[in-house]
Parts: sequence; C-alpha cells; structure tokens
Amino acid sequence: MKKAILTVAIVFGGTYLCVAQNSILQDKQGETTLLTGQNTISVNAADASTKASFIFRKVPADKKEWFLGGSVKLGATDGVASILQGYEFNRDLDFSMVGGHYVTPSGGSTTSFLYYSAGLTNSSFNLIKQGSDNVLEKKVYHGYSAAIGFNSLTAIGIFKDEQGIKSSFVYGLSLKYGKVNNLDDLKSVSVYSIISEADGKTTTITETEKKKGYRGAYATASALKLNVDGYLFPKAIGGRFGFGGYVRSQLTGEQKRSNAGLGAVVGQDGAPANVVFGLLYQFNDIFSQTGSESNIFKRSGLNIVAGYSF
Amino acid sequence: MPTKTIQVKLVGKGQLHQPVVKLEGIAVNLWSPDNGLTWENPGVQLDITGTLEIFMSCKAMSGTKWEFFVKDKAAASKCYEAAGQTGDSASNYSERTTSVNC
Repeated sequence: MKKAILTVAIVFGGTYLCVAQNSILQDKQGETTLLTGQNTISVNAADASTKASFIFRKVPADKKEWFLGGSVKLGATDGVASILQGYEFNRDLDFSMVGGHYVTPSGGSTTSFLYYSAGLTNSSFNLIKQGSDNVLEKKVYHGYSAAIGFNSLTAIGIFKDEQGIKSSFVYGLSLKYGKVNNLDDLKSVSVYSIISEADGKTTTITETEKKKGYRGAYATASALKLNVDGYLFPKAIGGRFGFGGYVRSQLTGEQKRSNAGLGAVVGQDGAPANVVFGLLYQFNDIFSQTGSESNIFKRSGLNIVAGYSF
Repeated sequence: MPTKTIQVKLVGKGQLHQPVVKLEGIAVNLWSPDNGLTWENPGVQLDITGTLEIFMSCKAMSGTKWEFFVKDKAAASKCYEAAGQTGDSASNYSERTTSVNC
C-alpha cells in the first residue's frame, strides 16, 4: 500500500472587506448607502454574513431632532461555501454607528435626510507566504471608515397604476473615506493536504487540513469612495417589487475601480419600504480599471440577501 | 364648555412621514416612540362644543398601510377610527377629514 501526502493550491476569484450599514438593500460586501430607518436582521449569502442593524430615535413631528443607530455584522472572509465545506472559519466583523437628521422635503418627496457614519472592521484571513506556494500565514486586518450620505424617498410619475398613482423611488448616495485593503485583487486559494492510499486496484484520496487563503502582494491604503444606490418600485405592478441597483466607485488609491449591481427586491405587504429579500447580480470593475480579468462575467457574481425589518 | 382629554394615535405598518393631525383646526404635537411607525399624543386638552373636527394626513412609500383613531380618554369607545394605505389620496399620501361627536 502506497501512502503519499501532497499539498495542493487551487485558485478562485477574490472578495474584499468593508464596513457595513443599516439596510437589506446591500451589495455583495454588505455595503449600502440606504438606511431604511428600520431595525433589521439580514443574511447576506455572498459574504456569508449575518447583520443586525438598529435605529433608535424619538422624533417630534417637526423632525429637527437627530436619529441615531448602528449595526453589527459577523461574516466569513472566505465566503459561505468555505463554512459549508468545513474549511477553517475566518471572521469578518464590522461595527458601525450612524447619526442623521431630516432635511425639508420638496415637491413630491416623502422624506429626505442626511446621515453621518463611522465604522470599524476587524477580520482575519490566510495569506500565502512570500516565496512559498502553499504555506499559509494568518493575517488580521483592522479597518475604519467615515461617511456622509443622503437618502430620499419620492413619488415618480412612471409606471403608474390604473388610478394614476405614481411609483416610489428611493435613492441614496454617500462619500466614504477609510482604510481599505486589496484582498479583492488577490487570488483566492484553497490549500489542503491529500492522503492517497492505493491497494493496487483503486486509489483513495482524502483531503485534510483544508484552509482557504489568498495569494499575492497584500497591501492596505486609505481611499475615498463614492457609493450610489437606487430602486424603483413600480405602482403598475403593485409597488412591492423594486428594481434597481448600486454603484461602488473607489476614486483614489491604487485600487481604483467601480463595481455595479443590478437586480430586484421585495418589500413586505403593506410596508413596501421594509425590504425582506433581494436578488442582485454584481459586476466587478465595470470599467476594467484593474485589468485583472478581461471577461466581465468571470469577475461578477450573484448575491442573495434576505432579512426582516421590524 | 367641557374640557376633554383626547388621545390621537396613528400607526403604520411601515414608517410614516410628515404626519399631521389637527383637532378643531389646531395642529397636535405628535411623538414617535418607535422609528416613525407610531405617531401619537396621549393627552390633548380640548374644549369641545358640539362636534369635533378631525384632520389627519401622512406620507409614506405608496402602499404603506396605516390605522388612525381619536378617543376621549374618559370614554370607553373611540370617537373616530380609520384605516387605509398611502396612495389612496395621492401617490405617497393619505388624508382624512371628518367631523364627529366625541
């Protein structure tokens, strides 16, 4: 009987880390500019995270008082599949606080507000040592961010219903400055040991010590990002289903890029602003600024977000 | 002319924005203890002669359900109650005007 132990590295696409905020309308990294104003619990399939968000405030009718809130998110740096397949768990922990105040609505606007947020990220991941093909070392990333954003909910005169009731449009944008890393540019690898046993007729291979990690020159930097989200809830089909997406643009630093997502979301019956499910397809680096992969569909992926607002 | 303590309460299934409640043409100060889902004032002191004029309006994403009532705190039943959803008066808007014995 022959027994051999091999170490194998397999290359996959990458992910990266960011600070999350308070909404189910989020991208593959759990980021959003939209604060629904509700307490939410959500699960983001793409980054294997569970997030609890809360807004606490007591607002008099003149709405001059500030509202405050925050969110806590725990996810897996290596994605949901790594947990399901028994790989080592690497955390992706975000904590953010937000404060905001309403601005006087104009025209058909239902509500508009400015907000300010700050967040911290702590995550761990494995990185292949320089000069090695298969030796992983544990790294810990500490990130921070600060953002200013604007949200508005308004009635818009397209896709009206039979009574002429307008559709709803919610949009948000934010400028965010913080520490980022280039994990998204690194190749994701899977490293494990193989025990091969052969008895002359068959060979049995056993994978052990499975770990995921990244390969490449890891770096961190400070960067400015512009984020935009927008969803239209056509009244012609009831007003509960929203269609739209988001753009995430990193404006400075060596990792300049724009990611965009398109898809649909569903709100609760009788409370369409309380989105409970989202299905979006994210295109990474839509302007090919990084030159990492020429086929846009190979650097893209589907995301599913589900949650509950209360 | 009897002075009564009136309770007004507006409850949305989702967040309600820019709520306005007027009793006898006077705007009632409203508070929200829960993120804008509920807007209320539990003790409006009013001198009422004859009927009570009530006005209520609110905004939200079109299709947001709400319930509204006005009650004399000393009485067992409500003077007025209504339910609807934003978009029944205008696109993101609901409005009710009535006059009731209270």
